[in-house]
Amino acid sequence: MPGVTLPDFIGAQNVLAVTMTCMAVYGSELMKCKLSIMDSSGDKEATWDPDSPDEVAAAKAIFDAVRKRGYLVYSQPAGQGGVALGQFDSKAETMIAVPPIVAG
Amino acid sequence: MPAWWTRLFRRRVQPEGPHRSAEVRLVAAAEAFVRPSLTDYRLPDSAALAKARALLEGALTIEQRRDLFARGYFCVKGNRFSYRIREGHAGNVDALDPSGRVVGRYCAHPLGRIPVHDVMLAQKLWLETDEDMFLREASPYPLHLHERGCRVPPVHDANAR
Repeated sequence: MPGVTLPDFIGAQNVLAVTMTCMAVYGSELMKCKLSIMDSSGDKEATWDPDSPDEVAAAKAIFDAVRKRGYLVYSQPAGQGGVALGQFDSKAETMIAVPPIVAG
Repeated sequence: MPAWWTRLFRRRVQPEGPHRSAEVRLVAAAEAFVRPSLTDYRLPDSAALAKARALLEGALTIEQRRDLFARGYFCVKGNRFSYRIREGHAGNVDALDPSGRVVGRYCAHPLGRIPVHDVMLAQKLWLETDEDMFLREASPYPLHLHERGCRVPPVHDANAR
């Protein structure tokens, strides 16, 4: 880079390693799945990494607790129609839990 | 108390060991997360409204989002009818015939004091996934005389205006 002098201890390999770490962190952020549970505060969000068994187990426990309360859970890909979910899908990127619906 | 009795008692009380207790802890944490907060009886504040609006906009198509901005409603295509979901908590779902005339009005909403855009999103999801159930469960809502047969501009007319 013209005009920028890096200290001696920052070699090209270190820069590469840091860049790859940042990309990995950024990539893992992108892979987060989300369950939004509607309530009076807008929604409560639970996020998990689909590759982490512990996080998936915790998310599944929340999903089951929500279903037990009579909530309907939908998978909602951005800009597409929703899909009703009967079972937990750890790979669904966006899930929305809706309180039981009643006639007005 | 004799030691053998204590051992037997512990075996009876904790039959499945630490694995079981971890699972129980997980379920308890999930229940605590899902449980409504003590302030859940309050009306949604402006932060809640903004969050709900963001959640709804993320779920809409570009045309639906444009309609929501411009007119305060969006349309959802069902098998029997198209539906117009207006901003509101109750009686805000209009059934439209193929020519865009209002032929019915329905009222169904989620339980609890949730923000208006969450209500609209719930209605959208319900209509998209189980229209028959919606029509069976929702209460029909009376139309005003001047609204009967009133034509709603279709979504694709928005640019023509």
